[in-house]
Amino acid sequence: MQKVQFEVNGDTVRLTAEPHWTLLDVLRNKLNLTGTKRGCEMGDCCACTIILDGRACNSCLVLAGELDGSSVLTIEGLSKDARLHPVQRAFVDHGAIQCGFCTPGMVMSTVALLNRNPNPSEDEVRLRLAGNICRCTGYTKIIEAVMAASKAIRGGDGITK
Amino acid sequence: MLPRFEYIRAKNLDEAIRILSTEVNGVKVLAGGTDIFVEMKQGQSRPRLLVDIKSIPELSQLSIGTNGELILGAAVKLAELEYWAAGQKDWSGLSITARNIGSEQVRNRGTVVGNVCRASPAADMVPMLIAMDAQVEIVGSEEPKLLPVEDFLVGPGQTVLKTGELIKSLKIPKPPSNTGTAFLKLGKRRAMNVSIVSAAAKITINNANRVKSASVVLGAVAPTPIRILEAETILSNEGLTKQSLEKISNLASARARPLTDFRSTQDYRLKIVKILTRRVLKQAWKRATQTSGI
Repeated sequence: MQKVQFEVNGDTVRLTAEPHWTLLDVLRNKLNLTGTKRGCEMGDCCACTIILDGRACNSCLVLAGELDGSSVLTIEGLSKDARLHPVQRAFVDHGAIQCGFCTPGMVMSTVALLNRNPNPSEDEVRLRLAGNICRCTGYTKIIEAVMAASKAIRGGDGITK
Repeated sequence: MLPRFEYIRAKNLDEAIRILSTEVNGVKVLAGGTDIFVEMKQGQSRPRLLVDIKSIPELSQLSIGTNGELILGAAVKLAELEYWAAGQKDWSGLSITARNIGSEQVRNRGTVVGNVCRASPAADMVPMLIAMDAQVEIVGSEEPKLLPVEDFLVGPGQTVLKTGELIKSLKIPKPPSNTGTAFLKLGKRRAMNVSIVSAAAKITINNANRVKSASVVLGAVAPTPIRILEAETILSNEGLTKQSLEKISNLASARARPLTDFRSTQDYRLKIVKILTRRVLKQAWKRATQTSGI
């Protein structure tokens, strides 16, 4: 067992973890943050994407023990004062969600991308989201939503971050 | 779910080496974890102890050495290389190669050295590193030593690393001026894609646009990547022509020993070897001529 301390959505988490626990296990089973989805658990589908120290990562491929001193952002940490994050808003407005299983991962990948580059080309969006698999939408609506979110974040339609 | 194991976060290189040389049975180095955790979940690897090297300060360094060479510490992530090298004349080929690996998520955890150490015949960094004459710096039981990446790899999953040794860094010589590099791969999906065939090339030209040196390396078509050594002579003697490219791609296809597996067939891979060899050399040539005179 190891003692680790890290941040999740701004809150400090202290826990004693088994070495084989993944961040995904901890989020879903210990912290009841079930917005992060358990998909393939092999890094292939990216449904479990979270933002770890500013970068999109597969929470199924990170150990709890590796997290000491880190900061994690999950889908639950995006909305503020019951207002959706601009990326969430854009996904809803553009019909980028069907069954919804890939959505938290898609949204977190998008947030990480837009934090790094608020004005990506469509090619860059496709590159940075290429790991996230969606079995419903055919991706077109998702790409549209990301482009709209980028515009919104840059102040294009009055919504500020 | 991951099977059970023990975990130690090494604080410095000496500690990591000490653990690796004393805890002989079932000990493995943990860097990004993007390969080893998948292998453990699939039951292909059952380490008893993982030694995490990510907190060892010098292993996270990406720096330029005294001779202009690029030094990548063993914990430098694929994404760090990709973003750092993007658009840099000397190193953009490394950025393009890294960007073709895994997904953004995997590149944000997985390391360049890990891609080499895994020794997969289809590891995408490796052909480019070989084309650029990269060396690995091995530390551990004996004196530190430098070894070309080509000689470090022995076969699928096999390297020359001995008990108690680990790679500290990769050293990539600064390419001469008027050099172009290129990387191409064929796979089934844009992300999380194990190459059916991959190819890397490096061409240096002189002021008269003649080839001074050339290297083309193919991945996923033999137990370790293969370098077509004759490419340099053919291109310096004949220049880059339809005929010279044909000669080199025929050599590549004759030299390749691809398998038929669930990803592709031997026949198809041999056809693709020819096509990628031609294309990758053309791209490298184009980049070399574009940078000439700069």
